Amino acid sequence: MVGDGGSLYTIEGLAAGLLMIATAAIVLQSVSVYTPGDTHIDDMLLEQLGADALAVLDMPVEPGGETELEQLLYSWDAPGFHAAFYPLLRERSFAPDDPVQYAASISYRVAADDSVNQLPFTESASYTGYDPAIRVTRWVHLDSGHTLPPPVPSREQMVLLEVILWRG
Amino acid sequence: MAGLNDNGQWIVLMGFLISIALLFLMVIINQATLVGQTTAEGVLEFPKHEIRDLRGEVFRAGGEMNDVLYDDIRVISLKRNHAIVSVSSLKDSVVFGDTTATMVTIRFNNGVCVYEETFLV
Repeated sequence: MVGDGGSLYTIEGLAAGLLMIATAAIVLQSVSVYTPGDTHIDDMLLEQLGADALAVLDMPVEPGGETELEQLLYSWDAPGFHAAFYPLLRERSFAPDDPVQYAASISYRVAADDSVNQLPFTESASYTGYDPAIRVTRWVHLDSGHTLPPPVPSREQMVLLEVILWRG
Repeated sequence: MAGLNDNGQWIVLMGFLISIALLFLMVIINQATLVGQTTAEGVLEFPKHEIRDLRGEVFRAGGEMNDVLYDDIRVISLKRNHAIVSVSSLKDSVVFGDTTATMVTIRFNNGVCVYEETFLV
């Protein structure tokens, strides 16, 4: 009979090899583990996207003139805001639309008691509260004579445009 | 222990070493998630956009701002952005020969970040 003492070593070598491959696979997979910290990174990107989109809208249309955002809010033009803001959120290069949704509202001050009230402006989808959302804001300088609905005082004022963004 | 076969000691020892090494790797991976979270939270909490927006708005309005608008900014910031903001201006307070300039001061504090700036418009 042929000596079979080496078989044991062979099996041990195979087992050790499998163990090392399994370890390498686990380590490589752990690189893409989705941790709670990574959700914050996504939120961060979404916040940057929203702030950039609002900043683009808040550029003066002519030197020293009003911005598009000021004009849209001055005339309370919700469809116009949607048409200008929504593509900025969703368009991507060489890829289908990013499924970002938004809901915008206005915060204004009531001078009588220094309270702050909110008024819904427009939204692309109704926010259910289920998806994690982030919030971006932008100051808008409204001249007197604006056409915001009645609870908002008609004086010249600063209002805060608040937009929540989520993917859904 | 004379005559007792102690070859198994090596296997037990290696088992211990490997388990300690695995424990060490586990601690490192555990820390890595915390590092990512605190970094991202730090960036999210930093009010970069708020300050740049406020600054740009005040700068652009220049000397046309008045106390009513400053009150709007102060009250809405406190209620909606949880930040104490004070914007004040001294109209025509700086004189260069026959031209005058308005000195505007912005103060911003949201507990995480304190910011103050004075400029002329």
